[in-house]
Parts: sequence; structure tokens; C-alpha cells
Amino acid sequence: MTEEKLSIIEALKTICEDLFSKRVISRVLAFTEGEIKEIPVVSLITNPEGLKGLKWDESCNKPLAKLLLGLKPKTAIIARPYDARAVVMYINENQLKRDDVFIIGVGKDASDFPVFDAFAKDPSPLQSAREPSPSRGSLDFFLAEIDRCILCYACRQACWGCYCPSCFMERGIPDWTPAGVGREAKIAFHLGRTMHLAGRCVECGGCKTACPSGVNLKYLIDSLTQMCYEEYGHKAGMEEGARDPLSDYRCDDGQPGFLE
Amino acid sequence: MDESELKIIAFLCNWCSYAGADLAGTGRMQYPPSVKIVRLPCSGRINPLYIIKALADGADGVLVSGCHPGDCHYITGNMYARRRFAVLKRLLDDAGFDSDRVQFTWISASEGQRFADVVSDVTSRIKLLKTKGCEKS
Repeated sequence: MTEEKLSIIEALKTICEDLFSKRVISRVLAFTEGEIKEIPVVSLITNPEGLKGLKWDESCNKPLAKLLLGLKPKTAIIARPYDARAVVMYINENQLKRDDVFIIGVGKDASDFPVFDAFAKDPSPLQSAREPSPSRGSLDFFLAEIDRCILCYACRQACWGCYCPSCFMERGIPDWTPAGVGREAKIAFHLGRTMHLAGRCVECGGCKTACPSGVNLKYLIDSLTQMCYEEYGHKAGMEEGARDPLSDYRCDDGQPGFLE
Repeated sequence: MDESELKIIAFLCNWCSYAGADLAGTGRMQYPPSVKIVRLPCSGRINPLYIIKALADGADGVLVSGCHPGDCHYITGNMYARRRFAVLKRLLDDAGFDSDRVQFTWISASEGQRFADVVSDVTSRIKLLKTKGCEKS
């Protein structure tokens, strides 16, 4: 581990110890050292001793914000920018209260964070996850990815935005998908999920990292994220109280591709 | 191919487009028999999954129509629908499906002739796609 990362860990420890001693928080959601050196473990640290194993490097690249749901206040989260944006989205969608979360941002610049309560500087953060997509518009590429999907829903479980108690895929009435792990079911799942995430994606890349078959359909949502920014001037999770682009309208919205 | 063999599902709003289709009928205007109409309260009631499921279950095309922007019976339903459809169209394009199979438009209750024209237009577009041998989802 580099000197740089060690100093970040020290800074985080100081912040958390201080919060514990002042009883501001009762637990910290963070990455800690696991049994295998390269693989960090997500932990809910409940006392200052637990901070010993704190870990911070490139391998700590999983989104954490979803784990805040259902936790009793007050929990601190060691957040990359996408986690902070997800927390703001949870607040906007009435899933969390701002006062119940203490956000410790770790990133290159504090302006990357829509909200934070404490900040530690990381000069070399993870690179932004939005990808150029040479394969955009290619049905062959799309179907090849779809055929690798095993419909395990790991992408859904990783995603901050997929927190519905009953997903449309698991509903019998109306039955959106044919039974089994066929192409139709997989296409309906991925297109349906992408529509649900349109204008809400915080670009953590969790769907891609979580996939056990290496399916890469992130370019679909990336394209919609870009469209929502260009057409509707919206960036998900950057503003408390903002409405999603698809829960909002303007009278002069464009209608590309509509019949005249 | 005969136009009656095509299956085009039309999702129409109750207040404008469905009444427009009705007017086309009472006015005895001719349009292709390819279209199967599903009546909904508002274009804002149309879940994008309806469209995806219609295509996945073998429809050749989908036509969606509601009141003209500003004329919605529920004031703003079609405004939300407009964004939703624009995003869905982009998504279908990105995934590589021919988004010509999904058409959106606005038809008011007095536009019976326009309904007939739109159905003819959409039918000929989808017929063209099908004869080209475009892959079904």
C-alpha cells in the first residue's frame, strides 16, 4: 500500500475516533481488511477498536450506500462521490433522512460531492466510470451480452436504485416476462431495469463489477445518463430536493423521433 | 405480405386518440386492419414495459398516441409521457433494435383522418422493415 493511501486511512481513523468519542455516530460503514489481502470486506464498525482494520485503495470500489437502508441512526459512511450522490437520491426519494447519515467523503475535490459532513483528500481517486461505447446501436453486441447473462440479478442487488421490495421481474400480475432464463426474459429485464434507472444512475459501475459472467450492458444506461444531461440538464444526485428528469417536464421539451 | 398479417399494437389514450380512432370509424375512413387498439386512461399511464412486452411477445410494431401537448385531460400526463418515450426510443436504438418499430404521436379527438393516415404510415414503415428481414426481439 502506498504512503498516500496510508495517510488517507490515518485521516479517516482520526475522524471516526473523534465521532465515536463525541457519540455523534454509533457505527461506521466502511471497507476493512479481509482474510484475502486483495479483497476488501464491507464492515459495519461499531467501536473504535474496529477501526484498526480500515482499508482504502483501488480495490474498495463497490458502492456502499444501499447498505444504509434500514440501519438505525446514526451511521457514518465512508463515501466516494457516487455514494454521496446515491445518499442524496435516497433523501430525494424519501428512503433516508439527511440527519441519519454522516457522510465522510473521500475524493480528489470536495466539489465532486453534493453533500458531505467531513472530507479526506485522495489525490488519486478511481477514474470516472462512464464509458465510451463503440458498440452502441449494435444488436449483435447487445445479444451477445444478453446471452452471457444468467439472470442472477447481481447487478440489481448491487445497484443503489433497485430497492423496490418487489421487483417487476418477480411479479406474477402483471407478468412481464416469460418464465425461465430465455432471451425474452433477459431482454425484458435489462431494458426494463435501464428504463427504471434512466436519469437516476449515479455511475458507480456497481452493476458491471458485480456481474459474475462479465456482462457489460452499462453502455445503455450511460447513454441515457448522457441524454438526460444534454436534453434535460439533469445530473442525478447532485442536488437535494431535485426531481428526476422522468418525474418532471418542461412545456418545450423536444420530441426526437416522434411522428409529425 | 398482406397488411392484415401484421400485428401492430396501438396504445391510445381514452380522451383524444381513442376518440380520434372512433371518429375514423364513424366517418368510414379506410385504414389498414393491422392495428390492434388498447385503450388506456392517458398516455402518461403507459408503462414503457407495455411496449417492451408487446415487442417481446411478437408484435411487429407498437403505436403510442395521446392528446396533443397542452390538451391532456389530466393536464400534464402527456408531458411526462413525452420524456419517457424519448428516453425509451433512445434506449431501443442503443440496444440495436430498429426503433422505427415503435412510433409515438399525438392525435386529437377531432383528427379522425389523421388517425387513418398515421395507421397507414406506420403500417407501411413496419411492413418495409419486416420485408427487409429485421430481427425480432
